[in-house]
Amino acid sequence: MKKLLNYLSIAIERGKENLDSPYPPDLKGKPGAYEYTLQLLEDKCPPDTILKKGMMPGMDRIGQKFADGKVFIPEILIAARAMKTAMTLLKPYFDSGEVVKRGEVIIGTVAGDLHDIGKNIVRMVLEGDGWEVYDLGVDVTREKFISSLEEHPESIICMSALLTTTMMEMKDAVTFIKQSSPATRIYVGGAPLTSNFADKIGADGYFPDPHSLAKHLADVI
Amino acid sequence: MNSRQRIKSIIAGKPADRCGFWLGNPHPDSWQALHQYFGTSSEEELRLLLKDDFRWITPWDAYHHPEGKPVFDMQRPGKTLSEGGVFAQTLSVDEVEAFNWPNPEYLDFSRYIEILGNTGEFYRAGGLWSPFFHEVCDLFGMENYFLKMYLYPDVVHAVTRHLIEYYLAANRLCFQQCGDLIDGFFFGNDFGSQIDILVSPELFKEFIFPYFQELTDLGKEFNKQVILHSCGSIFRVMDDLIGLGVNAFHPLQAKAANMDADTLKTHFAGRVAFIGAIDTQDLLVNGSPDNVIADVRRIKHTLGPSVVISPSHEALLPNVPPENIEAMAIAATES
Repeated sequence: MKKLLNYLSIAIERGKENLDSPYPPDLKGKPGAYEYTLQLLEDKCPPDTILKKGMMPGMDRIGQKFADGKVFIPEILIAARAMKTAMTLLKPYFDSGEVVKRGEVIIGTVAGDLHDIGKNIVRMVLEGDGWEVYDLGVDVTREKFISSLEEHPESIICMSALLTTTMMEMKDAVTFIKQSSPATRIYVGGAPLTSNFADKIGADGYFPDPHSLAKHLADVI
Repeated sequence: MNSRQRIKSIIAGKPADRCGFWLGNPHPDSWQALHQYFGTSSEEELRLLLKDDFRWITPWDAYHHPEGKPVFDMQRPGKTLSEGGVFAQTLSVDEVEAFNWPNPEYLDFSRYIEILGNTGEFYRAGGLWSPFFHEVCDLFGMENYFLKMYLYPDVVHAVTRHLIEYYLAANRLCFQQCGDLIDGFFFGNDFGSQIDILVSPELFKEFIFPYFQELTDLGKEFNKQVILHSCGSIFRVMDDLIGLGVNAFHPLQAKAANMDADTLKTHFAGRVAFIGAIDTQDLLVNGSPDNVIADVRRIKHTLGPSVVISPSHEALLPNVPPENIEAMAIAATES
């Protein structure tokens, strides 16, 4: 079983979705994340073990490689795709409560800003790390963040901004949310941001890449 | 030495009487405050006041489809980069071939030639903007595009080939008709993020460089200096891009990884010219005029003489104080 879990983690790290997937070329014709997950379930491996010892280590390794500049956005995307496909087999166990997520994250690009690629990568890495992520999309007003927080009160909030002009909206949004929900953790990211800026606006942290955010969340939550 | 001669010399790596200056292309929302501060009433008046050497003149409105269709009918439901366009679900080359690709015969450069003819002795950076990388992104959706590079490479190549064929034909017509009215072939593709290039060097080699080179070769064929615009950190591929024919990089996103002036000097000085480098992510927004002057002088010292001082993102946003723009211009054009 340990061997199969390892194969699963490798399939996810390398983006081998299923048997039919042509990528990566050196694994053509071999089982992918879907088949390994199916096999593990048939072998009565606990779904929680499949998630934590098979899937998450694969996403963790690819996330670390991204943070180290060894892989790039397409490799993250294809790994996340493999993970998503394999996760469909675990859905019944999430629905029944047999497997639980690490926690909930609300994510969005702040009002006035339409840039979503960085935010999407963060979403995928967090999902791969076992979080339930509610993606509010782009151009998200502070009211929308609050409204989502009312639905998911235990959530962490992650905000993104690419423009120096919309960074200011981020400041107002953080203040607004903290006023109504001081205990909610808010993390910020985006090209022009810095830790200093996050401190100044009262956010709980800034991370330059998705993997360092995921590691932080895993450590503190 | 007039502005035109100055920038041509700088990009060619030859001596100039001073470094160059380009204001950039302020965002439409920024102009009112700029005119108010500088007491000007037109874009050209402000550029003259600030001793701007560079004019970016591109034929945005030259395509006249008989039924009013756009150049590329992207059919995107929204404006975000991940939003898929007409090829979001496409898995076969046949579907790509069936698309209504643009026809260069619908291009009319007469108005463009008139504008170029009325431009004074300023450097004319022109030709079609030709952002093929971004347009492939828009046609697929960025995430979809990147995945298809691995899963459906033939489809990605087919789309890119059509875009490039259009831009090659369109720019050829443009350069043939405009002749020496254009000095530099200035085209843009944002290849980088804040921390690195968007796709791996291997994917660049397969899906970007071959097409990119066809554009630079065309520019060289018509004796144009080749200027590449790319936001973000492109440090990893700058060597390759120089090898493919780039004469100048713009806008040098100063705070992106390895895009600071010292690193650029160490690795590329003497082989390429630099346009940009004055930080718009922090300095121009939050700094004082004295901070800006000090930084412009530092950049001139580091990257000169082959440098055209300009914002590290050309679309200056309304949160950049006009005082800082004035400081940038003064420090850039002082001897």
